[in-house]
Formats: sequence, C-alpha cells, structure tokens
Amino acid sequence: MSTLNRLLVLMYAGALALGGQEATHTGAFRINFPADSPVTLVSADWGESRTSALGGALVIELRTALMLRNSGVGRIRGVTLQVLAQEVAPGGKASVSVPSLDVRAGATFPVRIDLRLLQPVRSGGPLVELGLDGVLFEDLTFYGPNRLNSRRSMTVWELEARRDRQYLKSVLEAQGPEGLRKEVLASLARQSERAGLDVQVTRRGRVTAAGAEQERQFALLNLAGAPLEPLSGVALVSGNEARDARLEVVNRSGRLVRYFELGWIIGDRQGREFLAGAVPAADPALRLAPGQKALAAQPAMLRFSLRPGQPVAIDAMKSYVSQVEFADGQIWIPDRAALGSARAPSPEEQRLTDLYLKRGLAALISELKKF
Amino acid sequence: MKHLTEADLAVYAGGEVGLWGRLRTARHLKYCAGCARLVRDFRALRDWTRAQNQLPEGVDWLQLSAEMKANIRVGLAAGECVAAPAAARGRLWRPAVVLPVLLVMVLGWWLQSWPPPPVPAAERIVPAGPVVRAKADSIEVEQDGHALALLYPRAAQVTLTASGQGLRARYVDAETGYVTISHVYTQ
Repeated sequence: MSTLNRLLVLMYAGALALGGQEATHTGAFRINFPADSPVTLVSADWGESRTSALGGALVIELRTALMLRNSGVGRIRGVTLQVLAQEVAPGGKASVSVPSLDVRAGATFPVRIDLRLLQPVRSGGPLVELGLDGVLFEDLTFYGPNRLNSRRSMTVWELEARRDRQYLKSVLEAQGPEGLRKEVLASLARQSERAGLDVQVTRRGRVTAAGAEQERQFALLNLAGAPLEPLSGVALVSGNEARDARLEVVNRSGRLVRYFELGWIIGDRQGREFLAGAVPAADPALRLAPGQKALAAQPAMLRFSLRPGQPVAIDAMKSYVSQVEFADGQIWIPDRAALGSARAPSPEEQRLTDLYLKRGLAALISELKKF
Repeated sequence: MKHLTEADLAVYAGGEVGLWGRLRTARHLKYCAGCARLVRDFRALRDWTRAQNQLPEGVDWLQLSAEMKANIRVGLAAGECVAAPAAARGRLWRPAVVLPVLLVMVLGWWLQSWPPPPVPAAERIVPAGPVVRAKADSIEVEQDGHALALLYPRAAQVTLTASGQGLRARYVDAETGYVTISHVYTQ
C-alpha cells in the first residue's frame, strides 16, 4: 500500500470516529427496494455497527435490525434480501433469506443483517447495497427480480415446511404429546450432529501435482416417487476434499423438467454421515424431456472439517434427487419416509424444534395448530 | 499489501524459517488476515498429517540398523582377510571395504527417499478466484485481501451446506426467533 493510500485510510478511519454511527453507516449502506414492492422498510436500527482499523485495512461491521412491513395483500411466507458489495470484494455477493414466515397483510416483521467488510481503502459511494430479491406468499405466488433464484429456493423451503408440519401433526395425533416430544428430541440430536461440519468452497482450483486424488463413485439412492433417477456419479476425492462432482440422471416422469438438484452426503471413517451440499443441474437452460438424460455438476472444490479444524476424511459419498422443478414451475420434493436416514431437517423443522427448546411442548403444539 | 507466497507461509507454519524470516512473516501476519488464515490452515494440515500413519507398514528400524552394522562388520572382516596375503593382492582390500560402505550409503539414501505419505490435497490445489469459507462467527467470501462476511452472532447452532454457487449457513436468530439462511456466492 502506498503512503497516500495509508493516509487516506487513516483519514477515513478518523472521519468515522468523529462522524457518528448513524450518518456513517447510513452512507455506507444503501437500502433499495422497488417502488411497487409488497415489502417496505419501516425502520433500520444500526445499534452495534462499528469501524476499526486492521493494519492498513478497514474493518466495517454493519449490524442492523430492519423492520419491514407487509404492504401487500397476501400472507408472506418468505423473504430474500440481496447484499451486494462489488466495490469492496470483487464478486462480493450474498443474500439473507427468512423462510417459514407467517406475516399477514399490514403486519411488520424484523430481519437482522449482520455483515463485515474488509477493504484496503474506501473508494467512495455506498459500500453495501441491500435490495429485495423476492417475496413468497402463502399461495406460492412470488414477487421480485429473482436474480438469485430465490423463488425456487423459497418455494422448496415452503413445501418442506408444509410437509414437516403435517408430519409432526400426524405424530401428535397418533402418539400424543409424548410421541411428539420424542420426535422433536430425535430431530434435535440429528441437528446437533450435523452442526459441527465446516465447509469451504473454492470456485476453481489449479492442480499443481497429481497424487493421492482418486475418482470415487457415489452410492445412489433411488427415492420412491422421484421424477428423476440417478444413474451414475463420481467426484475426485483426496483426504478431506472433493471436487468436480458429476452425476447423470434420467427423467422417469412424463413431464418436462427445467431444473433439478441432488443432495450430496459424505461419510467419514467412523460411519458418520453429513449432508455436505447440493449438486445442481449442469445446464442452466435445461429442458429435460421424459426419458432423456442430463448431467448435474458441482465444479467447485469442497473442503470438509469438523470444528475446530479437524479434517473429515471422506470415506463414502451418497447422492439422491432432492428437488425437481418442472417446466410449468411446479416443484417436487421427496417425502420424509422416502428420505429415511438421508433426510436433513428442513428450516421449518429447525424453527419448530427451536421453539420447543425455548418455550416448551405446549408452545410447539399451539404453533402446529395455527396451520 | 503484498502477500507472502504460499510456500513461504507453509515453511513458516512448519517452524522451519530462520529468525529474521520468522519476525518478518509474523509482522505481516499481524496485519494480513488472509495470510494468517492460510498459516492456520497449513498448521491444521500439518497436525493432521502427523496424525496419519506416515511410515510404510512393516518397517523394523532395529532390524535395519542391525543389518547395516552387520554389513559394516562384514566389510571390515573382509578387509582384514585380504590384508594378510601377498602384496600383489594388497590392492583388493580397498574395494572390499569401500563396497560395504557404499552399500550403507545407498541404503541410507534409499531410506531417505522412501515415498512420503499421500499429501493432503490442500497443499496441491491452489485456489483461484474467490474462496468461500466458514468461520466461527460468519461465512465469508474473500479474494485478494477483500472480504465480505455475513455474521451470525445470535446463533446457537449453525448448519453449513455447499450450494451450487457458494456456501449457505442456516440458523435460528435468537433475537427474531426466525430461521435465517445466509448465502455467500463464489461469483
């Protein structure tokens, strides 16, 4: 860094210290919702935001609680906000989604955005732009630019929420409150096991030497009722890393498919299994007719470890079709029974079990009866 | 800020750098979160590598040592045997001594060059482009010293999954009570 740049950093840090949090962070953070958005900003609290110097760089922590209002007419089930920081981090793009909402028209709801930026020198203009990527309503209609494909993601989460609420209700009816409690405790145990997995993703890797890397086959799970059937799959595996996962599927349904994803489970030498991620359809303009085959690919390099930093030696890999979007926009997800042990708790299951932990069984039962 | 090379950082992480280099690198790491993270990764890999079985199975070092000593003794004995005969044969003792010594040297070189254990892929694949990773309090996309991180300060339990485009963190925000899904993208 040049002397001039160092001076600029120091001057900017000093200005931040003197300028007061509200004005500074408002200038650094621009919120930009469309004029006809069914979600409007009521207030933004910048409470604990702060700026500090780290060597020659600035660290800016923006912590805000946005209060949003449902200004539309339908009940909101999910919201996705897009976070852009292109000036700070090349390709710096992120999003914050809140699924499993139940916000009636006119009601307000909070969304927390906590982010940290590290940059050598401020280049002027807002550091971060926050926009609306999408809103999902109770009837599965959607509003928003959908640049991040949040329509599909939020629809999948909503369908999973309905599926899991229905399942927990059936447990309650069949086995009573104690049966529900056992089910919730089993779910919490599964979540606890999975929560320890750390994943690092690198878009591309330059291989400097060939060595212990091996091509490993996926074990394929054929789920009952799945529109697609996985045929084969491989990934390059070395120690705790895997890359270039490629799977082939065939369309067994009678409908045109425009998107699909496969779940990727890794197993370690102790026999533990973790849902590591997803392998999406390789073709972004997919039109998969009945009987045709298509590829799913995850070109990134994934590195797995258990916190704190203990590598997970990949011993086995499994995959299954986790979602399918048909040409008419309808989405298929697996049912709970078909998934068996491969099932990862949905966002709604996570919310409901957290509710049980904080407020008890009666609160959970009451919540289930709302739907 | 000019970053140190991965090779320099790997040597530093292994504790194999001199005093001056150590001071210089430590000073850089104090101000460079990216390089400091790489050093931590290298150290974690070093520890992991140590935890693996690094030697080929069945190597009996005591037996190898005994064999080496025996070869030397054989060589010396051979030298004594050939020293007594006539002067015409006197020149032959030299190879008899030198050959076992050479044998010992070759054996030593061979043991030194024993194939190392498989190298963890982290040391072979150099990331290019943005790296998305999870930290204790956030998921982050980082490139060339710039970083954007989404924090989860009020999450008791965070579930991470790789998406097709980056990394997702899912948690229940203790303040709002809502499940929140943060997503950072590699592009």
